[in-house]
Amino acid sequence: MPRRAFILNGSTTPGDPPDRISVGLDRSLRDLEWHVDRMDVHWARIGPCRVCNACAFRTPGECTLSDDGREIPRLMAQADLLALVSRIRFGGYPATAKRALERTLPNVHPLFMIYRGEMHHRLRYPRRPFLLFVGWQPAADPEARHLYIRLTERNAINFQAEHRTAVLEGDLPPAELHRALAGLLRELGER
Amino acid sequence: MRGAVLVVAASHRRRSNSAAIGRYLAAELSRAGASVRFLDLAEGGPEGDLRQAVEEAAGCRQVVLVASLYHDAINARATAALEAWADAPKPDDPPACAAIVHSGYPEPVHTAVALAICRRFADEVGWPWRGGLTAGATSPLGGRDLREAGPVARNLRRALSRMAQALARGEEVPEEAVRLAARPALPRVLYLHLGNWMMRREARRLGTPDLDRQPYAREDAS
Repeated sequence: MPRRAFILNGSTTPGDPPDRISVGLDRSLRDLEWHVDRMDVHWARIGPCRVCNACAFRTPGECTLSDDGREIPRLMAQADLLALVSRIRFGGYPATAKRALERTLPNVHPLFMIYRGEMHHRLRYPRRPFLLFVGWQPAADPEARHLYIRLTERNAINFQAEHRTAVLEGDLPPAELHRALAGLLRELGER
Repeated sequence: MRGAVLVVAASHRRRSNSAAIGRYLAAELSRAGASVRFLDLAEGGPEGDLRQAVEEAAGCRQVVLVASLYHDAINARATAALEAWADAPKPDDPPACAAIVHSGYPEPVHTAVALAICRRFADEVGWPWRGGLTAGATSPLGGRDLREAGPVARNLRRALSRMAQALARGEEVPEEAVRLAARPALPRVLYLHLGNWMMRREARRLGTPDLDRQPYAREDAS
């Protein structure tokens, strides 16, 4: 069975650098014979999580909103690799990408546990995808980069999953982007 | 309007803890002599536009954002508010900025990055940063008026009072307020067991068929 990847493309504008990163990642993974699902937030209908708790109590594990965001928990649960690609904004995710990430809530169990010495929600599935976070910013910004890395580390702890974070900067000419993605995937392949 | 403190509760829904905390802070700011405006972004619906937030911020001397933690950062609605302010025309005299990030988890480590994001926003847009609070174990508030929330909100009420007094004087959030807000009302082990008991009770009340359901489990999952 081919390995499955889910790319959550948090690009806000088609053709912008995060979009090019997502498309490049998609292509590279398919070349390696992965099955790839990609959701582009600039096209998809992804409403905000209503924090209604339906996914906890009424339809456990399933969101009741009728939009593309409803598919996010399924694609995540069934993936071997979840890649979240977005611009870095204020050291974190842009609002549209954050909105998509918040729609993974159905995969979080309502009960609590202690994990790595902290209180966390249990997770609904014992299997967790490897998390790949790729952030892009228009120019080198060490402070924003560091904050983004800290954020993704916290995300990985909450998802109780292994992760890798990459920060790409600048215009990303095609050859440079290809090299960066090839290096990332080579590194992932060695894990 | 200029000279007022704008308190913005940024939640996805009404009767939120963000609104409860924001309203209490607004009341304390008034008591401390500040002119206050309160804005609950949920009133405009989960996808309402943010023009009012932008207009009000441009006319105030201080903005305080109150937001819940969601996946280790401020929620998407709060992030959208930061973006709207950042993308708006720069005022000649930008407001100062403070923030409160609250979470259902008790430990401060959960909210530290979220508050740092708020600070980073302030630095990027040139709004003088006045500091912030992080508050954990806020789920028991249940969106209630903090004055009616009892002992579980005692530390938070005291922290908000001190924060209000400082902001009303144009000062930074004092360290005492930061420490008070970060102090959980219950020991963690008790909070965890109480939280699980409440969740199971809610599941029974709603007739949840299977709390552990896994609708998307892969057939080859090990």
